[in-house]
Amino acid sequence: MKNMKDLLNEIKVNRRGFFKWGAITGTAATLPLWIQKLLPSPIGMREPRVKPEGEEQFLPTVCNCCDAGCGALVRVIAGQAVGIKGNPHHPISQGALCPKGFAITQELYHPDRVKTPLKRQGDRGSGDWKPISWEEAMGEIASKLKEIRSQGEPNSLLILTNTNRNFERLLLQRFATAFGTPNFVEVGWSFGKGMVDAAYAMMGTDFTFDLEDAAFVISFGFDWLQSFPSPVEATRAYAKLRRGKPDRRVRIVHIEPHMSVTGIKADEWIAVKPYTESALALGMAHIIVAEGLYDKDFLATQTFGFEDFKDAEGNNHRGFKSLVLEDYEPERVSKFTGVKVETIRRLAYEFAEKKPSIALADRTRFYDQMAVMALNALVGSIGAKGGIIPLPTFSPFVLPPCPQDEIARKGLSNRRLDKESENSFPLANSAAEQIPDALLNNNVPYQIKAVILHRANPVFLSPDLNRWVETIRKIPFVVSMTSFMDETSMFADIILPLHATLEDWHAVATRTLKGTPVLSVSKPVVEPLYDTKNAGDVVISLAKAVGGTVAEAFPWDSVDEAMMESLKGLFESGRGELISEPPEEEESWIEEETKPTLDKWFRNIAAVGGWVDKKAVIAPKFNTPSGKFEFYSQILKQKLGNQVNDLACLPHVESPEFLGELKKEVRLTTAPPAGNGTSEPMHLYLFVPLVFQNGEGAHLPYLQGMAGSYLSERRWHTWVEINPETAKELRLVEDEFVWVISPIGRIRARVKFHVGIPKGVVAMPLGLGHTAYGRWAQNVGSNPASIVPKVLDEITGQPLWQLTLVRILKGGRA
Amino acid sequence: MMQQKNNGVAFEFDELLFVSKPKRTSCCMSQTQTQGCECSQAQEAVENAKSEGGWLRRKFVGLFGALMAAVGTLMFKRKLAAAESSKKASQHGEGKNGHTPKWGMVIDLDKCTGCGACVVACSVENNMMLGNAQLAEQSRVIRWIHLLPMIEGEYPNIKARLLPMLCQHCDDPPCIYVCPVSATYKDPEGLVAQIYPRCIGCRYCVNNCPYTIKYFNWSDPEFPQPIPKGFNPDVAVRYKGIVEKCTFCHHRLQIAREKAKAEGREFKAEDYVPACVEACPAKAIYFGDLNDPESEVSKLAHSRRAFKLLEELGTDPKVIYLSEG
Repeated sequence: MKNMKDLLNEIKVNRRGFFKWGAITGTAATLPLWIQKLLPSPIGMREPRVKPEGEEQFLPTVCNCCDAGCGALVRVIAGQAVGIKGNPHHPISQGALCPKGFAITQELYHPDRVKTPLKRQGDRGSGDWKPISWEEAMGEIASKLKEIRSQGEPNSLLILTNTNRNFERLLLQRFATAFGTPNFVEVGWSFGKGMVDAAYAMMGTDFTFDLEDAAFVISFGFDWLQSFPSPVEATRAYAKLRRGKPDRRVRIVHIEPHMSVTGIKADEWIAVKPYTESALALGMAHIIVAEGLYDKDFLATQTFGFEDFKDAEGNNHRGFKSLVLEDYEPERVSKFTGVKVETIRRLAYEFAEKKPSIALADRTRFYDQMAVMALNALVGSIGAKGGIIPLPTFSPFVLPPCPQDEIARKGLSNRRLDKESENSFPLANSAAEQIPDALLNNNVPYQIKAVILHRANPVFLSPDLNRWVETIRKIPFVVSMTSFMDETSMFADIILPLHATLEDWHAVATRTLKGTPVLSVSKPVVEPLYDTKNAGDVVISLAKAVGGTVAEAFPWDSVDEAMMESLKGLFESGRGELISEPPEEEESWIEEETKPTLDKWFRNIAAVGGWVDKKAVIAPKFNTPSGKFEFYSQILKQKLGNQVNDLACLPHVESPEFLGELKKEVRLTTAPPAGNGTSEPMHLYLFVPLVFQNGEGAHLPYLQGMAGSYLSERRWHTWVEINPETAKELRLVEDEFVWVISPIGRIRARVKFHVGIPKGVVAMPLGLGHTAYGRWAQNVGSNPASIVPKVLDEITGQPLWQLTLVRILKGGRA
Repeated sequence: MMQQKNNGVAFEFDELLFVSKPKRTSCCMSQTQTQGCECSQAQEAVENAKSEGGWLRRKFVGLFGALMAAVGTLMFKRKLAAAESSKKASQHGEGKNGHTPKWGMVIDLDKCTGCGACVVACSVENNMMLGNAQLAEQSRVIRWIHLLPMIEGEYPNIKARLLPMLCQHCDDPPCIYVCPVSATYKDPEGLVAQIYPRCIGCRYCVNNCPYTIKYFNWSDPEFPQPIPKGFNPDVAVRYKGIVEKCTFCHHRLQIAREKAKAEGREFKAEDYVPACVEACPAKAIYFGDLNDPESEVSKLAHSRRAFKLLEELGTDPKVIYLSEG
């Protein structure tokens, strides 16, 4: 009885709890979905999502983020792009994409795209715009262009484009030629482009890295895992180097002033002072030459300028051999770079003994590129499997000859504004950074009356970028073709909105790392969301509006028609194949015995996303005066003029500090600007994270959040990497904001302790600090380009980014 | 074939898309857990009954009893259905050797370059919140997979590693034991699931996850138009007050099964590929059935380089890493 009573008591005691538990488990766990649907939402009203209904398709497109031309498949349901993956048949992307590629759907549906043509209402840069129609916009531009031509000064039109080598650019270039302006100028970063200038100077041609078959990889200041022609290919090659063959794991060494992602993934990271990488390369070359480790056959038969030589006129010239033996003893190199002699020796032996080994460098200073290229040649890695393959650029687009009238010919006879003479920047096609200085200092034979910007944003990309703001303000008529309101477009008079990647036609010709030619073509996968156009179509209609021979140069109705016609030669050559089987066509159940037509061939390429010539003969070929690899660049000698000294044609360290000690004549050099202030100046090392390559990416939140993953999760701000010990000396704490002060300005940045950076160097990422460019980019972080003084490489005209000295000042919050 | 639909246990992304959370549940639940529910309807009713006498109380008890009976029956039926389906699954087998698959992932750090393609691919696939500078400042940007830096040592002798970090889908997940509403649980195939409409946002599971890869939505995500047009229709958007995490792209499993069925063929483990695995340019991420000794993941999971994170905790993760070198 008593027990029973206790039990009852217990029930009583627990009843409240029982009710509670019952109510909660009952409601929470078992409410059928249809009841839940009827219940009002606890957190305000939510619009139910409109779920696209319809057939699911995977449509091929070509990623437009960089030059690589990766193929992607976009998941489209009911006309909406709801997913993306790599195109498994595409030879470059092979089913994968880099992070930038996956974000192109976000680009399409970005809320801050330019949606209609805009005309400036308020002051330049005020951001006060009036939407206008395409007819109105084109009418206004055409009348301005006609006016310029009628005045007989077509050269006063400046066309600024980006660095992407696609079909759009070809049409734009043709427009410049037909119109009659020599001022077709490319604006963009040299980061991540590889040693293209040295390849041209020493081999006379373009090249690829046959990375996956290398036996040893050493990179000199080239964060190649985060850049490369195609980051997808770089990553794939890396995986093959590591795990491609069961019995082989290739060692990777990375040399860079800060521990970048490549430094993290490499087996060995060697820190050097900024811009001393090439000294290390030449120090290695010294040991390879001095100890006879070089490839004697290759040097004897396929190179020029290794030994001292006598030219046709009987003058003696210095060769690479005597140069490295005399000037680059390991001890001196060690003192200059801060790398131990034993390390230099060990690397030299490893590089020479493992065959084929490959040395990579980025498009930094020209002679630094040359030094690394020479290192490859010493061990016979040029043209060999697993080395550097010299190959001509694959350019299948052939447009008919461009008609020109007298006005155009006269305009083109003027000199370019970015080059003072033939000899300035001998290897540069264009040197955009010279234009502001030329215009602002009135150091020009004629003025610029109008500028057309084509996805070009110098006000964000250039060192000392205020120069560009002044320049653009000075030009009376500014037109910008863009998808987003970027910094430069803010100063435009008329904005012409361009399609997003997925709404657009694309055609880009590239090579795989193995050298196989690939043509990537794709058509729009979704209908345009807004009143936007393809840049090629804009150019065609502009040309037609200008009339005369300019219109004759563009006989096509649309960009795809022009694309197709330009590929006629490739079609007729009968080379290559589609990357995958074309989709079946409904028509013609009667077997037609017709030859494939250009039209059908082109449509099929666009339908599958690309064309590849797997059987193409990959024959390494040097296109130099000697027909060989040239340690002593005769191409450069021709361009610089024959009176130039030998050093200017040979790889060497340009630093006056280094050359001064050698008591050598310094011909081509750039003095680093000094830091100001009282505290110890530190070297500012700049780099570009993969997601911000080409200065784009910050506008897409999925990419913005990726940068700096190797440091911490508190991102979305420009950071400055400081060695913890240096930070301690400066009494800095992690994540605090500081001022980074250079001779020309200061910016705020967040302190990140990084053990992967030597004392005396601070590293900062480029790519953040937009003052426009949509809600996710604007006012996020700061732009180090604004505090870097403009110093250009005298050979390539590219800005030298790593010469700045800075001070760090506490209290960036204030 | 296992009937995932309508047994209530498996999480049904398709149906959850338009569902909101039941009202009041979260308030009552969290209060009960801390033994101090003052707003509970039940408690109010009891207090009322006390003051107004037995009539109301009896009435309430009676009504509640009926409700509970109904609830009990429903739950029993669901449990039965669930048990049956898992039995079916184990009897008929999903894997090629006639067993229930145990989905697992192997990440080869020797191939991974830390490019982050998986992070963005996952974000696009799973309608991830966009994030902004303010949220980043508060460490509240959610990414189901992210790169975890591990940099040790002092300059210049540094050991550094970048680890793609995602839900480890533990075979013995610490998070599921603390969930008061069974919103998180391990499904018969080993996937650790999170049912959003059930989640009451108590964050117990977030705290109990040794890998800190469960994320709480502190605010409603902002998706300005037309961003929702790009949403993956197979995946629900998560709102304020809900905990979320990597699902191994479970919706892809459902779609793959349906597709196999529609094509009249046997479902194969290879049909199920999560977005990060598909995205990886290095092919560093492998995915498959750990219960199938012949599968690539099984073989790699037993390789000399294999290790698991915080293995000593006994959580038995089904994400296995292969070390460098």
